[in-house]
Amino acid sequence: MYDELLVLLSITIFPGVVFTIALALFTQYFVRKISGRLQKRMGPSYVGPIGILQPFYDVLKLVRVKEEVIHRYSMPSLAKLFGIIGIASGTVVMLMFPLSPIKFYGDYDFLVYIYFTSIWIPLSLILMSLSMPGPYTAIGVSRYLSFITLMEPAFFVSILTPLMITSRYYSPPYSILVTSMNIHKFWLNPLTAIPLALSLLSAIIVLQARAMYNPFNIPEAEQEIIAGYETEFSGPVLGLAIILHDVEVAVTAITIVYLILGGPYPFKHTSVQGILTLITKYLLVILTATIIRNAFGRYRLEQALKILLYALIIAILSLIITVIVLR
Amino acid sequence: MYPAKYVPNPVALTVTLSFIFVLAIVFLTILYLALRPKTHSRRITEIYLSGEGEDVVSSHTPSPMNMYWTIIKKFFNQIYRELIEKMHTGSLLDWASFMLSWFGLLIILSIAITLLVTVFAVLIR
Repeated sequence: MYDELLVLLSITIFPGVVFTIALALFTQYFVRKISGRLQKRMGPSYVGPIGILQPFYDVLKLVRVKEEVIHRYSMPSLAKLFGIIGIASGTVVMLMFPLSPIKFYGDYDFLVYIYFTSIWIPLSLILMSLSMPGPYTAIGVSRYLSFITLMEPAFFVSILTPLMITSRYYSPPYSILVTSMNIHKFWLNPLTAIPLALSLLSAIIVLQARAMYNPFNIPEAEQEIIAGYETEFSGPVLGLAIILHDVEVAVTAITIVYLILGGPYPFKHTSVQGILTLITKYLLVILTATIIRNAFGRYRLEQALKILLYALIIAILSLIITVIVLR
Repeated sequence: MYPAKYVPNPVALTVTLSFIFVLAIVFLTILYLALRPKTHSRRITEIYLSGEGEDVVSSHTPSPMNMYWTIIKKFFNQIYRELIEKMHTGSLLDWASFMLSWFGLLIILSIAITLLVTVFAVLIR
């Protein structure tokens, strides 16, 4: 009974739905605030202390107050359903990290992680967009589809490096939980630190592309194609799309923090040092993405695809080095 | 301190996490329905493109074929151009040699895979 209650609380509150959405909206706040500062603006300032509740208020306003603007080919209910499915797939994987009070792990569980994050989240975003069709939506979606062809393989290969390293010494093999708890030890060995650094570089590029931050803001390409895949979104559908996008960013950043950077370890999650280490690493990853976002303009699609190809090559290189080192 | 659920069978783990996935969808739907106002305002507009009505577009939604060709022509144009130059030269011989080389490659690959699988099966027996 106690176990079932714990599972239910993990799904709904921590680190499930409520925590994941809160983390996602905080991430949006942090990116907006830092971007504002980098551009000599205030950033969000009015709602909550130092404007921290602004993204939450924005979403609440879209869901509760704003009207839904549709045309006769729109299917807003279907769009909302896909939005919810996407957010749910982002929250499920949080139960595979050591952060969760109840952790699910097993042999080769990273494949389940990939199934939820690399298939369900992009698919939900695409189907959500196609449920509200329009000429600019179609362009945005086709651009996003061509992104996926390189972005997801690059992410897959980049997280394979830490998984392969830890699987050599710890079991169960290729487990998200076991890798998160042990990968920090391998940063001290120069032979394994090199492939880890390469996979970190590749994963940061993928984070930028998944978040669709500059220079990868091509599928939404504001002004050029209005708002790309989200042109036809309004009211509650736009609110859910914003949450889905932020959940994707937060889950990718958490993955980098745990699988490559080692989370709070060697400290415990429950210790002050552990919490501080975890928060610092998370904020550093998001800060890096924000600085890149503000330092670059928008690339053309073929330029962006070339960068993603380089990210894939770097990830493959790190995998090859890992195989050589582990022999 | 807290339990960790070790599920050794990957299929069982997938099923467990899929069940959690469904629970999360149900919880999110309840959360959304609770937040949604009782009377929802909705405005239905005409579809338009750069200020023009929907009569200027031939089809209201892009067909899958359109999307496929957009991706092929715009984003994989290097492969597309390569195919055009190698295969669509107007000469039937070029087309035949291109197709035969591809089919030949596929046959060699399938034979190689079959051999490898057979060797592997014999080795692990």
